[in-house]
Amino acid sequence: MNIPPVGTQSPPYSHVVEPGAIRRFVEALGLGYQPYRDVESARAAGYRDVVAPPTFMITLHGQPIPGLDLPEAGLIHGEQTFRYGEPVVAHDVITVVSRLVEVKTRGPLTFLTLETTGINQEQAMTFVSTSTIIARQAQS
Amino acid sequence: MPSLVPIVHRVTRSDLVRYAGASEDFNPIHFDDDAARFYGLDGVIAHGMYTMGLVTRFIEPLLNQGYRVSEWSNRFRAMVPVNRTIAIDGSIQESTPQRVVLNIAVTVENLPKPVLTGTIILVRGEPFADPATTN
Repeated sequence: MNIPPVGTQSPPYSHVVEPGAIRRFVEALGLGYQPYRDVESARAAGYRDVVAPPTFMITLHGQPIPGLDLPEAGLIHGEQTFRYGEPVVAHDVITVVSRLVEVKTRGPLTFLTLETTGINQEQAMTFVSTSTIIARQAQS
Repeated sequence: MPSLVPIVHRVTRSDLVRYAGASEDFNPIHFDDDAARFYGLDGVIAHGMYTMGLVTRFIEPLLNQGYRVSEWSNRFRAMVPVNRTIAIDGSIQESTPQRVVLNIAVTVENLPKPVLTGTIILVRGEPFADPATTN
């Protein structure tokens, strides 16, 4: 396990939000809200295109944070917060950056807080995702 | 006052395989019992983000009334084993035509404490805020 200094961030990465990715996500969760599913309903509700559901943002992940090396096994997702701005809709291009914002250690457990921000093609902030990940110190 | 109905759902292995594909989270502890046991679990568990995503169903009546989520935070308190029934419920802390604040809890059959608790803030008829400047 290696943890870089707080503030270290990933290089930007741009995701194209494919309509099929939204559809698969919506179907995997069994969501029925029509603006998640068809463009006419989305436009009637004031969105530019089919809108991504709130937790879809987790799939718009950042590139790896340089120097952050966590054991694959035994990572626990402890907390998750999203704050939303401009909606993410199909065909958007969302540029994300992830940043290590906090590190705390308690016994064998390390709590890492990562923040990912997503900006769309119009430079509007779409979401801020804050994840707390709990890693266990490797025995070896 | 919006009316919300608890959501009851049995989490199956095929749910988790579909969610793995849709979210591109292919950690094998979410579909492979051998892998889950190798990592010290009794068997396959749900992705935390799958459980959180299912909570979206609970708020759909509010979405249909024109609200949208402006902020959502939750804590994953325990794991959700596959082939268990979960219940998603919540209470309205605040409700105006412009804003609803919900406390939510997800419980698993035969487990005494919630596996997920959180707060969702929904707004209606407001311009989209810049989330980097709020809070």
